[in-house]
Parts: sequence; C-alpha cells; structure tokens
Amino acid sequence: MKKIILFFAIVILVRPLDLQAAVLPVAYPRLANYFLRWEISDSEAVELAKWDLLVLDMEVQENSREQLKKIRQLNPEVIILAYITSQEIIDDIYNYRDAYLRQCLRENIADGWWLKDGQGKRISNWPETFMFNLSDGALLNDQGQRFNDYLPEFVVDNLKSTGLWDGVFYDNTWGDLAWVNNANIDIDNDGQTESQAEIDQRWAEGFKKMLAKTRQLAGPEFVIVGNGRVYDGYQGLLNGMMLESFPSSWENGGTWSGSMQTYLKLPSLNASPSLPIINIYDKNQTNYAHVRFGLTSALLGEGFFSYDYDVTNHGQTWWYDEYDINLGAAKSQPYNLLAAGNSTVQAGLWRRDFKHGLAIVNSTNKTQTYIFTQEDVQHFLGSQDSSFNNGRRINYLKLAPQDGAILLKQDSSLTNAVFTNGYFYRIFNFSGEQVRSGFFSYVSSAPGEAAVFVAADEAGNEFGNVAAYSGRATAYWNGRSIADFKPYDNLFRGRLNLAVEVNDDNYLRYLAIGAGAGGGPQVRLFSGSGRLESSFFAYDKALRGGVNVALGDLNNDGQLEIITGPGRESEPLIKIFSLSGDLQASFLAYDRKFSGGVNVTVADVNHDGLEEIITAPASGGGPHVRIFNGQGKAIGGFFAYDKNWRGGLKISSGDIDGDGLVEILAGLKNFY
Amino acid sequence: MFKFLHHHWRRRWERYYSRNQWHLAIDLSLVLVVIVLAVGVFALHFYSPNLTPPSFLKPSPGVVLDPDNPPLDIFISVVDNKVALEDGLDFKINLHNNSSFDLKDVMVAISPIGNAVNLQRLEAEGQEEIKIEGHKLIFPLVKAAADIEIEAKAYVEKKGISGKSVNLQASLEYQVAKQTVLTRVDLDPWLLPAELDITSVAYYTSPQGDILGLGPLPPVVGLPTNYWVFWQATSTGDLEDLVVSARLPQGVEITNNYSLLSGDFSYNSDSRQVIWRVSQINTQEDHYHLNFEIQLQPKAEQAGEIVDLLINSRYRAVDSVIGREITGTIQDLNTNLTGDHFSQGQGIVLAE
Repeated sequence: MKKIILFFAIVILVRPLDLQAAVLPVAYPRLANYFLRWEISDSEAVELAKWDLLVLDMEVQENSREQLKKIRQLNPEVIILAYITSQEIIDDIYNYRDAYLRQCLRENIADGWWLKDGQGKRISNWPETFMFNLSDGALLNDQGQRFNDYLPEFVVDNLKSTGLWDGVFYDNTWGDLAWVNNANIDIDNDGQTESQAEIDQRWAEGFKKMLAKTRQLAGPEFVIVGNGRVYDGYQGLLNGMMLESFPSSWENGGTWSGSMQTYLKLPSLNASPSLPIINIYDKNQTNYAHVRFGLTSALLGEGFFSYDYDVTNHGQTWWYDEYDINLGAAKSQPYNLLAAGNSTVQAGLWRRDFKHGLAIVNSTNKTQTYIFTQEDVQHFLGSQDSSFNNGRRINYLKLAPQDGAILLKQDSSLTNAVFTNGYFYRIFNFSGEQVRSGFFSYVSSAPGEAAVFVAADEAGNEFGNVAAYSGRATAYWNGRSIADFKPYDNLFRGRLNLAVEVNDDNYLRYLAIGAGAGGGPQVRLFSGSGRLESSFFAYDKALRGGVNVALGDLNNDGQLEIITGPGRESEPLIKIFSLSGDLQASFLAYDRKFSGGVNVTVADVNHDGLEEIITAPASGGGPHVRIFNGQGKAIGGFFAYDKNWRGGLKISSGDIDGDGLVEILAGLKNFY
Repeated sequence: MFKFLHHHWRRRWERYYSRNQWHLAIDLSLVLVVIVLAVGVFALHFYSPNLTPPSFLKPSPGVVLDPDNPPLDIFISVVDNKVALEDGLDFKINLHNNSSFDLKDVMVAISPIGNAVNLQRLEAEGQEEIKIEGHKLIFPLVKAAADIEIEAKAYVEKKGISGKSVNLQASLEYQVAKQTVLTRVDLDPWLLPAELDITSVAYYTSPQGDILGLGPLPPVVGLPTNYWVFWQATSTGDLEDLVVSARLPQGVEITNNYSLLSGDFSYNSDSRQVIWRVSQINTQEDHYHLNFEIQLQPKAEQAGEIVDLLINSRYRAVDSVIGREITGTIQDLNTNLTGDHFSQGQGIVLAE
C-alpha cells in the first residue's frame, strides 16, 4: 500500500509543469489577440494581459520569457497559445536572429520531409518559406519518423514542456493541398505528380495523423487550435479554428453567412473546450464599424474576436471601447430579427442576448431599423466612436449595413445592492457624477417598499435574494428558501431596514436588520439562515424612529462592523459597533439640529482599498449625500437630486454593473 | 381680640401717632368710611321697595321669560349620517312651544362648525309656514303649546380634502317679552364618503429632470417614443378594493417596465386595459403609487396631431366606512404631456 502511495506521490511531484485545462471566460465578449511578433516588450506584456486569449509566436518563449510570465501573472485566466506554422518554415532560418525554436525545428528536418513537385523541387507557398510534406508519403528519417510524427513531438518537447503555454496554434491547418502549386505536387515522393484527389486525400490523412499524435502526446487538456479553411475531418482533434480575414473568401462560399455557418458549427465539432476565433484585419485602426461588425458577429457564437492590421502584420494591441464592456453570460442563441423563427444562417439582422446587454449585427446590404418594444437598452458611453457609443438609452436602433452594435440592458432592478422596492434610483460615482440614467428598481417577487437585495455573480447570473418587509425577512439562495423569520416580535409588522453581507464564495453570511419608522432603534444581526447572532439598541430605547443599518469592514481588519444611522427625532449621530454591539466610534453626519434621520451604507466608493460610510438624510433636509472615511472624517459629498428636495433619500451601494467599481445609489419614493 | 387691637393700637401710637397727629386723623377717617360702607351694603340687602316700573319696561300681560326654562324647545335629528355631499344633508327640526303664548318669527340659523365646509343653501318643508332667508329658517308663528316638525336639507361644499365628517350647528333665536332668547344646538356629524384623488400624469422627463422617456420627442411617424405614466391615489378615508383602469389606444403598447408600491398591476391584451388594484387604501398614506411605461409608435395618418396615450381612465373603490362605492373618471393622457414641466407641449407628431 505504501508503495502505491509513494508511486502516486512521485507521479504528482515529478509531473511536468502542466497548466490547468483552459477555462473559457463566462462573460462576453471573449477577446483574442493574434500577436505574432517574436519578441514582446514589457509594456506590450501589460497591454496583452487584457485579452482573454493570446496567440503568440513560439519564439516569445525564448526571447521574452519573463514577459510571457508577466502576462500570466497579470491575468491568471488568460489562455496563451504558441503559434507555429504546421506546414512550412523560413528557408534561411539560420540567418534569423531570435529564431531559436525555428532553428531547432529546422535542424532535425530530413530531406525527405520537404514537399516537392513532380520535378523534385521544394514547393513554396509563402515568400521565403518552403513547405513540408505532412502526408505519409514523406520519407522516413533515420529514426523512422516522418514530419507528421516529428512536429507533435517538437511541440510537446519544446513548447508544452515549458509550462508556459496552454496550447498550440497550428497555422495553415489545411484540409486539401491540390490548390497549391497548381497541383504540381509529388505527395508520395515517387517522382511523379499525383492526381488532385490523391494529393488532397493523402495530405488530409497525414495532417490528421499529425493532429492526432499531438493530442495523444499533449493530452486532452492541451488546447490545439488551427487556422485556415475549416476541414471538418480535423475538428474532433482541435479545440477550434481561427477564421482569419473574416468573412474570408476561402471559407464556405466567401460570404458572411458561409463563414458564420462554419463559426457557429465549430463547437459541435471541436474537442472541448471549443475556442473558435474570428479575426478581422483592417489597416484602418479606427474603422470602428468594421470592429463592431466583426465583434458582434463573434458574439453570435461562443468564440473569441481579434482585430489587427493585416495578414502580413499581426502584432497590434489595439483596444476598443467595446472590449471594456462586460456583457455577462450568454442568455440566448443568436436569432434573426428579420426572419423570426428561422434559424438558418443567412444575411439578416442578427441578435444575441446576454445578461447585461445584447449584440446586434446587420449583415445585409441596407440600413435596418429595429424597435425595442419590451425592453430597455442603451448605448454604452465610449470615447472612440462617441457619436455611436453615446451612452443614450434607446428604444430603437438604426444600423448601417455591415455594422453592429453592443447595447447594454437596463435592468429593472439593482443587483448586489440593497434597494427599496419600487423606488427611483440615480447611480453616482464617488465624485457625484451620475454614471447611469436613473430608473425605477423593482422586483415583482417582493412587496413595494420592501428592502430587497438581489445577489448576482460576476457573469450577472442571479443566485439569491433577500427581502425584508412587514416585520418579516426572507432569503432565497441558489433556488431554495434558506431563511424566513420575523426579526422582531410577532406584533411588529412595520417596515424594516436591511444590510447584507455575502462572502466571496457567494455565501449569505449576515443579515443586519433595523426596524423602520415606528419601531425602536434595535439592531438585530442574523446569520444567513436566520439565526440570531446579536441584538442591541443603537440609540435611546424610547425612540420610535427605527434605525438604519449597514455592514462593512471599515478598518480593514477582516472583521465586519455594524454602522447605524438614527431614525427621526434624533440627532444625526452615526455609530459604529462591533458585530456583538460594542460601540466603537460615533460622529455627526449632519448639523446636530437635523433630526430627520440618516440612512447609511458602507462601501469602498473611492477605490482606495478602504471602505467608506455614505450617508443621506432619511427625511427633511436636502438630498445631501456625504461620504466619510472610517474615522468619521468627511471626504466627499454631493447633492443627489435638486437641492430643494425635502423628501429624504434611500442610500445604498454596490457594483451594479459588474465593472469592478462600486457605485452609490440614491433612491426616491416619488418625485414630488 | 381686645389684646390684638390693643397691641396694634400701641404699635401704631409709638411709631406714627405720637410723632404726627395727622396719621391718627387719617386712620380714623378710613375706619369710619369702612363702617359706613358696610352699613350701606347691609341696608341695601334688606331694602325691598314696592315700585311701579315705567310703562316702557312693563312686560306683556301674562308673558314672563324664565331664563332657566325657556318656552321653546328645539330638537334636531340627523336623518342619515352617511351621505354624499352632493345629495345634501338631511335633518329634522322639532320645535315645541311649552308656553301659553305664541312665539313669532322664530329663527333657526344653520352654520358649519369649523372651516371644513361652506354652507351653500338650505331647503325645508313642513306643514307649517316656513321661510328661508340665506342660511336661516324662519318660523313666522309658533303657537302656544304647538309642536312643529319640518324636514330640512343643507347643501355644503368641502374646502380642500380634509376631514371625514361634516359638523353643523343650529342657532335658535326668538324673542320673549322683548328679550332675545338664543340657544345653540350641535347636530350629530355626518360621516362623509372618503374623498379619493387619483392623479394620472404622463412624463417624458421627471419632475426632477431625469429623462424617463425614450425615442424622439416630439414623436415621429414610424419610430417609437416611450413615456412613463404615474398613477397615485390619496384618500381622506379608508377605502377598499380600489380599481384604476385605462385603455391603451391603438398604436400605444405597454412595455415590461413598471414600478409598484402597492397593489397589483396587470394588462389585459384583449381589452387593451391597464388595471391597478389595491385591496386597502388607508387614510392619507403616501404609499399608493404605480408607475408604468408605454410606447407610442405613431402612424402616418397621425402626423400633425396630438395623439392619445391613455383613454377611458376611470376608478372605483368601496368606502369601507359608509359602505358605498365611489367611482370617477380621470383625465385622459396625450402626447402633449400636460404636467410634464420639462417636456410638455411637444406632442404634435412629426412626419417621418
């Protein structure tokens, strides 16, 4: 038994530097960069770390190893593929500086591995390169290998073994060959030119053998992506294909529809995970419509999008406003708005829905108008094509031919922030700038004016909600009820104030509850399942204005604090308690004479790593939002509505759009 | 007593009289005045002269006013204390003359208590002659030992929407032996139906300046323009089963966006009706709000017109206190957006 354990221990310990299987990002868009320079600078490494998938020339491994590591350090989720041409090599590679791996490859090339014509001459399909014969017609070297044996071994021994790569990108994974050199090809090295059919057949068989051996040697988790016209026979061995120069003239009829049919079917053909890539090149970096056209086409499927200069120069770090958008997880398959119910891929106005937005592409040759009748969407606010990405909410879209649009959905309710059901909310950043149009936040599952928290993951998928109303609190998490209780005695049926703490692993940790107006200033802390953890009066027991609550770690010590604001008829004294109710600090949020009550929330709204306390008058007073640091020092503030407004504000905070930045939410019951 | 007076005399002698005789003279004068006044009061108390009053002060023969027991009794009863104001407030007045003499020009003035309502007019009828002058009912003759009953009706109008009841008082005024007798009687209050106020406003821009609407403004043929409709209910009394409804004209559709503080909101696509139901409305609570979004897509023939957004707007509810149904209509809404401070007047549809 000990020997068995020892064996497995040794196996685990001496295991080469294998990376985890590539994990596809859940959120869209998925971005790829086809960056084929042989060296990468530090600044380029920082730039490249922003992409989800990188196709980097294999020489980077030797020439810029530190930069390669830095990319992964900056973006641990990135998928990095080593670029290698599968069927050719630069002829005078020994004269190239920084071409160590190609020279290694070249070093072991047997004379019988070159692809030759009927006259015995080596064939070139690309300037300064000569082609290899990947078929079994190639001759054996002195070790009994052909090129289709050697290339996989080279990849595994020289690339995969370093642990720097998630996979390999075989360029030119052609499924036929007769179109090369006018079919003057001696595929079996017999000194004769074979028929086109035989050339294609033997080439495809040999190429497939090469791919199969790569898969065999590298294992199922090693990503193998090809490039070139898609040949179905290879796809089970590949994790995807790049559709370069989309929609390329060589792919499935040379039309958008043809390329899209190929792109959309790849996941069903490829090994998992499938990583199809749409690449568009355009010498005009600012052809934003072209970028949108390609990106929105890619968004119709599961793949990645790449945009760069041209086939002779894939080496840009061009970044577009659309790349910053987090659309979240896909919520639908693509559908043609011009042919409802018809899933046949044809030129049309195609749309796909995502958690936070949608992508629409017009692949017809005329302008199309689409009216949004049952949904609220908006352009995002971009800085590049600002006339298009103008941040405006829209209810119709006019889209030029060969253009696309990424639109954001306006959710009808806030996520990851406590809100009062049915109230109107404006969204602000730390500086008091409105970062999104105001809207009514409402969920039909809870009564009006309930305190509601809807939990959503990074991809925008909602997995829980908490509601507190009429003296009762409920929590549903991951599809089941985990709490349903009365925070106070059975007689209290008034409104409740709520604060929620959710762990990083999406576990509902605490509910802090304060009574609304009419109740005493008693704070009660519950576990996510509704078990009472602590209870204390934050203010004079005799008061009946209730108490407003927030949860946060103000001093960054890993321990939460409960922050309270008084209800009406009390001075605006903010108090900071431990979870057990020990008073730690207090300060006045407004003038001592103000007695309208104070709503509170806690969040790191200035993104300094420390949480701040944000306050707003609960009634009376102007709509003056104030921001304090953990010591009660005012560090910011703004008027969330007209200065003369006296109706009080609800205040909350949360990263409601999934951009990683916390926003301040200021809610109104009505406008009058 | 003697010792007290003696002691007092001695002190005043030592301190004042021995030094100046004038003090003694003044004190004696004052004591004398007090004695004279006391004697006068005592004498008047027992003085009972048998004087004959002058003729202008003589009462009518046999008519004597007993202030503690006035000759005319008045009883007022409210017929139905749960009424709608427009129907008038019914009450009965009973006058009973307890005396042996006739009373003329007996006046009953009706007035509201407080300033919740204005009294507009009175109506009255009965077997006896009765006159109405403004807010006064005048009985020309109430014979000795007579009983008079009349049925009266007061029409009032409310000031504002405060108060759940109407309180009136009657002032009975007549003369006996040339003396005016005035008696006031508070009538039992009338319970008023709750006054329900339904506000319906369409907005493109909120009163706080938020752009709620979408699409072109003014609307353009063929393109959608979205508006938000706000409904709000306030009531002076408790109500049950409030239903507010309106119909969407052709070319107007409801979106999925709405926000509700109370009740249930639904849309009947067959009847094209939006319906808001609230089971309970409590007095003057600011909790009854519904906001919903609609989308207009004007047709070519609507170019140059102001287009309806919401028609046949109406409401009904049951007054849980008086058990009566309240119904009413609400102002229909159109693209002119009356009530939208920022966007009103941009309602004429533009051609494509």
